[in-house]
Amino acid sequence: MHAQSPFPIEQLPQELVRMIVGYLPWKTNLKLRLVSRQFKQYVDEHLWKPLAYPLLSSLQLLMWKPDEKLPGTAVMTTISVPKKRQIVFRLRLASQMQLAHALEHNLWSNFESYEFNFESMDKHGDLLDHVRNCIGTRVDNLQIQRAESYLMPLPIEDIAKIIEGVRFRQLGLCHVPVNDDDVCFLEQQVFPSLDELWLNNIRMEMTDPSNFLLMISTYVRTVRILVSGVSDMDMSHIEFAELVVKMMSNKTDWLLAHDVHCSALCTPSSINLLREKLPKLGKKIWFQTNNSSGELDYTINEHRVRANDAYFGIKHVTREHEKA
Amino acid sequence: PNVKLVTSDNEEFVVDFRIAKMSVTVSRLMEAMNMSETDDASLLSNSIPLPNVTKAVMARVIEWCEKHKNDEPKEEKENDKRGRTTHVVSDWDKEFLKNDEFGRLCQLMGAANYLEIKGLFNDISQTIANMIHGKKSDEIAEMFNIHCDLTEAEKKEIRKKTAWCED
Repeated sequence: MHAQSPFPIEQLPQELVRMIVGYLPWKTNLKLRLVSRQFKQYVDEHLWKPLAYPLLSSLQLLMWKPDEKLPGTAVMTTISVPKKRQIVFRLRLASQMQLAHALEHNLWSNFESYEFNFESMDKHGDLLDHVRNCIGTRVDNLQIQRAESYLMPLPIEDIAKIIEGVRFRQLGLCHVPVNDDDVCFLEQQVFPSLDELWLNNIRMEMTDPSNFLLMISTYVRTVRILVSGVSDMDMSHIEFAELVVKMMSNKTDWLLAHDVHCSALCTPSSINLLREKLPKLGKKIWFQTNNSSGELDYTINEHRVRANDAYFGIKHVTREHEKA
Repeated sequence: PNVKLVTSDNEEFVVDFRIAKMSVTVSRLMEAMNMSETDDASLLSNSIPLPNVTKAVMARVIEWCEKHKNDEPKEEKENDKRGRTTHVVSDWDKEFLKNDEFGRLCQLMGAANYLEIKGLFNDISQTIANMIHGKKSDEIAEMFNIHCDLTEAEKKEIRKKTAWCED
């Protein structure tokens, strides 16, 4: 084994010591912080290096109104950190005293991850800046939701504070109102890095919902539109079948439209349009909806077309194993 | 064809062209001096000065390069899921480095860094990281001959902030 004769590691160029620190597990780096001021500094510098991986598995922003009599929207932020990455996140947190205090007292743990919750209102606005500093530049999943009974516009400024410069792979918009300003904001800040989008009962307040969906399809491969129960997501005026063909001619190749209350989608002519056009787009597409009628099961252009009373789907044969 | 390398203590090493090319630094110097594999005269009339490497360290570097001269170029690996750089040190490399005391490992690491021989540099970095891994802070300080300039109060505060991670 290595003879451990004393050698002042300080003689190594600092850059090399920093690289050695990068080879160490974080638990060992915690011990290294107690070795000397210099080593603590090496570890702390390493802590804030740009990360090549997403530190958080998800970031959830829940809008609600804390006091009916007062103006303004509160944002309940929930940060989910996989347990294997928690040391980096909590060390970053520990260096942001105010945030550490707010989050460490609202910590939940499950089998796979830690969840930190905190509520930010105007008086705690700085917290959002600190959160932004800690989360890195990549997050797997962003969820923006509102409390069921609350219908105020999205507090874009607060949201921007947290997500500016962060790349997300998935975005879920649930029960939130989306107007033209929100569309503009999402297109600039979120959509370019997105791979998957869930629209769950959103309130379409934008001038042209068809254009919004078409714009989405230029960025996102997977789009899931989910409508359930009494919904604000009125799409009755959209020529949905034609829109689906246009969307799937763009980047989108997996589109799920579940319970979309759109009479145009249920007519035989719109089903025929989808059957005719979608398998011929020259892509390995998967389209699925539960608006249908009749029985179908055949393969054309390597796409299997199936339908029954509660299902209509067109799926490339190589995607048969993929699940919704 | 062979290339002449001259160390800081004026020792001349004659190495195979392929071995010389394993060092990005040497490659660049050869290019700057118009030395090419097909031009024997340019190789014979020039030598590459390496003022940051001693004879003893150079001999070790060449031994490592001889072993790895036929290796396929390795893909750059990003940080692992826990955010640390990882590198698998082969059995031969473990054996090669195991008897080096820490001081010599550091000199070899410095040379690998200067010569830009990535494989050797990664081997040594990972080997030193493995030496540190699992040790307590006072054991690390002793191993590296580091005087701890943190006060007990400061250590207590650092521990307090990371108490959630104590074993």
